[in-house]
Amino acid sequence: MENKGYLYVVGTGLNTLNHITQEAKRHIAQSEHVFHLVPDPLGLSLLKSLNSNLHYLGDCYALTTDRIAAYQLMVKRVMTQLTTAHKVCVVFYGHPGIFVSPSHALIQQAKEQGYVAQMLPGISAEDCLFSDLGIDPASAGCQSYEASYFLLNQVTCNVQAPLILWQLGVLGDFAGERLTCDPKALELLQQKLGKVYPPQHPVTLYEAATLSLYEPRIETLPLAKLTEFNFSQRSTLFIPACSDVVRDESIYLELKKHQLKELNNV
Amino acid sequence: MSDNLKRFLVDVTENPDLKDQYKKDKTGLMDQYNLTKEEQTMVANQDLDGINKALNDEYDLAPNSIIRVNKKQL
Repeated sequence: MENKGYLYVVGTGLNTLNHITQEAKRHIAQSEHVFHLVPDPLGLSLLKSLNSNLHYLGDCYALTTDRIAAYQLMVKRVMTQLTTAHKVCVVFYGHPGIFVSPSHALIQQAKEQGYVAQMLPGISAEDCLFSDLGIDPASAGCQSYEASYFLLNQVTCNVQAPLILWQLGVLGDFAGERLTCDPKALELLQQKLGKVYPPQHPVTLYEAATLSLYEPRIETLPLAKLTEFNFSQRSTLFIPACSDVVRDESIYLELKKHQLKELNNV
Repeated sequence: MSDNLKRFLVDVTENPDLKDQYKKDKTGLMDQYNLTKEEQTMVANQDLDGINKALNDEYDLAPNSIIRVNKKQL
């Protein structure tokens, strides 16, 4: 298939001036057109210093009836530009592939139409959470769900691993229209979690710091008081494991036996 | 756009020592950057929306979470 041009989708991280990668900066600087959805003014200033040909995608929200339609419009705008440009870069806040559906749609459509398309990693809220809460997902695994998805679906919750629920600020959103946490949905989430975690199990509200001046927001309450949290649009819920993992003795012994046999054969 | 506020926030980001200085003497450091009383109140209260509005004179910036709701209808 003919190579018609290049599309790069990059992220700024949560605190743009500190998190944006060198790779992302180079692509922003070297592109003919840069589309962006960066909500912080310091990040915007950095983009301006790298490339003067910026196109803001945020106005798509005002031009459409809901967020889904806004995302479709964003994709359409970028794809239209791509037909006439050699290299286009699209910049999203945080990690461009996490909770950003237009970025995935862009990569898919661009590839289908014969463009070279690549998504570059950025620092995500989850990366910040692991650092700020001192969590190592390698130690006991980690479950991560969008909060409304978790609530509205029959998800099997593993209490032997930490659970992260994202976007409490729009909990209960069905149609991409809600911008606040539905109190009824929060009550139902508490009930759902209460089926597998004890009432006194600690749950932590977490918000990454978006300005270097500030510390992350970290507040912990027992699950029984979940509804007392004042969730913002940036809030995430972290729930630690409440049960230790039990070793699978049969597999352990079989593997040990196999490895001993290998050693004896050397 | 508040240039003093922007310079203050960028400098604190790029120089961790300034962040430590801010923790010790918030008003003193903000006075050094000639922040207005209104700006100092916003910074001290961690009023992110207010800070964003004060810094931005171009776009009606989208809040973070709006762009991060994952839907698969595209």
